[in-house]
Amino acid sequence: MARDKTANLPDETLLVLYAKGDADAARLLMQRLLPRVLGYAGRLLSDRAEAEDVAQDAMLRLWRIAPQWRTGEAQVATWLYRVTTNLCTDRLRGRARRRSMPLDDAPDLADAAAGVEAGLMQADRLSALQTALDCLPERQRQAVVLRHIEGLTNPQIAAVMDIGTEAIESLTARGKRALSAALSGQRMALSFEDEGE
Amino acid sequence: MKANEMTDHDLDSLLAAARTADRAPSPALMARVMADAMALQPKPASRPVLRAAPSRWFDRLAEVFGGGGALAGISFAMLAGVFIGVVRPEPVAALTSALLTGARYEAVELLPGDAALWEETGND
Repeated sequence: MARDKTANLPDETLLVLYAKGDADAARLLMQRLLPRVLGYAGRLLSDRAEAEDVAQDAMLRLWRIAPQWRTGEAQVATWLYRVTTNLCTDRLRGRARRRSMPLDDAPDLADAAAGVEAGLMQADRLSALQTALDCLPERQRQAVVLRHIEGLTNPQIAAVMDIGTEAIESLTARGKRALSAALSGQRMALSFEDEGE
Repeated sequence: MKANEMTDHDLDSLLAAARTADRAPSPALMARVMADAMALQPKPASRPVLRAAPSRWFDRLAEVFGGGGALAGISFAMLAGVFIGVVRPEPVAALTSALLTGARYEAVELLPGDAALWEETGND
């Protein structure tokens, strides 16, 4: 199928086309979904290399399930976030077991934005945010990242995390409060006083 | 509120910055993901192998007559014969009558008649 025609198709249709042998559909799906999965995994794991491994693994599972994908049952992106969440959870538990928590690798995520002064400030802010996110309990972190960074709706997050929407509201509210607490006292260091309210 | 405390607005702008932060996958990662996709992609269903169709009555008949060409020739001759016999085109009719009316027959008796045999049997 011509690429300009496939560009506007929904993820689910692209997945079906991929399963039928359309290589362009795979490329488009990767361009759409890989950055989201990578960003999400990076926020949960605070480790770029691990996030890349998880993102590749999650996409691999998507390719595998494509021939059996049941149309209309779930959104592809939601399914992929769920797989990514589970993979990240496994990694975090593995880390806890090994008692080696390289959370100070977080600045790597922001290093790409560095370069000029504004970029450095942005990098500092993202680094501080990542450090604060790392302080949150695992489920709160997942909910906050999915809601406030990935931009998913509460029902979508409920599908990803397999809990009710009320629990999601509670998790995100508590998570955001905890995030504020973790960042308290850093307003001047992150130059927010220059921006005002 | 203390001057150094983060406000809700600060936190929201921080989260928004994270949302738009560059998180483009590296070319190496994209290459790995595409390689996985191609390796796991179901191959399009191959075209069915064309097998010889079970022979039909026409094929079997053609075989008897030495192939389709021969059968076509025989069929044409048969149809032509039927046509001539039924329609009797003028040239053919003229030729037939000329041959038949101009013919002279001379009867030659090659075998003796059997009347004598019957007579002898009747005397027994």
